[in-house]
Amino acid sequence: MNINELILEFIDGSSTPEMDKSLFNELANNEVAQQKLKKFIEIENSFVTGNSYFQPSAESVNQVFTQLGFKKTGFFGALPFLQSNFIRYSVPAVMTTLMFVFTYNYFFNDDDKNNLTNSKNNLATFTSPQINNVIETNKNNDLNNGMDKNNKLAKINKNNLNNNSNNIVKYIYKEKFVAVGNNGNMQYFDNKDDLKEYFDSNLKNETPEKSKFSFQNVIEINESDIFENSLSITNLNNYTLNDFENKEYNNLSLKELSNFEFTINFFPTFDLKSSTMNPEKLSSFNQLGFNALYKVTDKFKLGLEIQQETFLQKFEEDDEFNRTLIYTQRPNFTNIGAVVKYNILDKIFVYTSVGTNTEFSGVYNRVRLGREFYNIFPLDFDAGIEHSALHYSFNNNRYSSFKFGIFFGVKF
Amino acid sequence: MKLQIHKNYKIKSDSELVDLLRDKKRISEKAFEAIFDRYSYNVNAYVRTVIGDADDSADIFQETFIRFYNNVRNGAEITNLQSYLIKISRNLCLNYKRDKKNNVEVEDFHKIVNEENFYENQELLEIVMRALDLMDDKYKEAFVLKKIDGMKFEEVANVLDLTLEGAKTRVNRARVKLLEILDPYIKDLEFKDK
Repeated sequence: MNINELILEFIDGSSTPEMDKSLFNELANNEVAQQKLKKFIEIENSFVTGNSYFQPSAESVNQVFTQLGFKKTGFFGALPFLQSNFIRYSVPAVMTTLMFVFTYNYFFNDDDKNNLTNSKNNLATFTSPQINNVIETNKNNDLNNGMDKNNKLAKINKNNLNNNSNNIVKYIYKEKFVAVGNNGNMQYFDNKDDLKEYFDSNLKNETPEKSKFSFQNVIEINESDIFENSLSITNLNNYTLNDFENKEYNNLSLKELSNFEFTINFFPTFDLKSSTMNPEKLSSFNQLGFNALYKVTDKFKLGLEIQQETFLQKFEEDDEFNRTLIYTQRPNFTNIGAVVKYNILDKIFVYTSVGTNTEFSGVYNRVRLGREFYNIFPLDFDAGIEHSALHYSFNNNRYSSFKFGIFFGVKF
Repeated sequence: MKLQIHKNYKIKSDSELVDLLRDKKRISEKAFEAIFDRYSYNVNAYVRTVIGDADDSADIFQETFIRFYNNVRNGAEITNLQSYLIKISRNLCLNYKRDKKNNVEVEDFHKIVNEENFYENQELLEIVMRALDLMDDKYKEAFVLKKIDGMKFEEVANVLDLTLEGAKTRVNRARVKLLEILDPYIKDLEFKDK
């Protein structure tokens, strides 16, 4: 057996003890044999399993799956698109924009900062139908004038109150409790026990008329409504004193206390390419979506969306006979993306999102222009128009599908 | 309601995956993907090594998996999945090679490597692949099956239709031949490392 065979048997781990002995003897005295062993090992080591040199190209992989009518999931399915310039430049651009808007709003925009800190507990609770009448009557004049904008508290002008009424206005503002007597004086309390004590002392020590103070006909008024002079009375309940104390936080709905906004959307949309193509089977949740947004400020929200939808895809390739084959399909997509919602006016917002589908076969973006509607039935709604696009690649060619439609969302 | 207990196709055995390939399309698609993920590297390594040309080897690589899928759907019986895939790609490579002749000579190889300062710019694997092009296909494919695809000598013998001893001899001859071709460049590489 020559030195080559001895070395190769040894490298393969199939040498016998006799072969090993011969090899080691040879290596001890023969420098050429030593060099040969090192070179064999070096060549063997160049073929490490998993070496990317032999990984099939993304294009080859996609060709196999496309020709079989399959979709490749995972990294390879996304690779052609990830390699494209669009994703290379657009993702950093979107991320930079988001960071800028977030930073600006969070650190530099004082108005929005105030809104952020004040967005909780912005509910004022009034204890008299007469006050309601006053506000309704004077909402364009006295209320506006009497508003303490610095403290974001509505003051009731004493002159506008019916002298015979028992008027106590109670605000829950930030974490302060405020009581306003019918003389217009305001008292601040750090907690509701102190407030209750104040009411109790009024009931005990004041005049007989004031002892008639009641907490009936509690009316909830949204602070922002007061500021805008577009007061809307949304709830009229009868509470006893005890009920009131127990329910004062219950009256604040989850969406008012929380910094999160959740919406279920329905969005009938229409492709901008004409086609009669339809999926073999539409998803049961087609054109339905859900988004969860975090209120960075009252105007600016960030979050995620997941939507079930279809896009019409039309792409082509040339076959070996130089014929152009046109493929048309409308797959069901489950799209997941990042969302920015910004109120450009009071209730008018722009909603943009960018993301991909669960099979990473493209990137979509969506723009919505809509209006918020509050306290209807008694829910809150979003509605408006939307435009969305899906960008994908096939055979190194890039394609985009567009659709246009309306959307309607229920917030909770 | 039918409860699906186990959906992770990646940990299923070769024979389980082949059985699932004959199932309805949704399941078949997942099984195919698992097989593809498991063996596409090996098939591609074999085809790339034997064919050399990147475009042509990509075509053969794709055709291998498409034929494999169609064969299984048409009832082909498979005992060793990796060997079966390599046999398909080998037949395709043989058909391709029938009309092609390897016209690279040893002198050409040295000229290319020297002129391009190849060893200074490329991984050793690149040089090895170029060197493999100089060998007869029978040595080349034996080498790639054993050393790149990691087959046992028994499996190499099965794919190449050789005896066990014949497969071993062929692989080892390829290794010695490769060393002879690469000898001057490995010296250079060693010098460069120092």
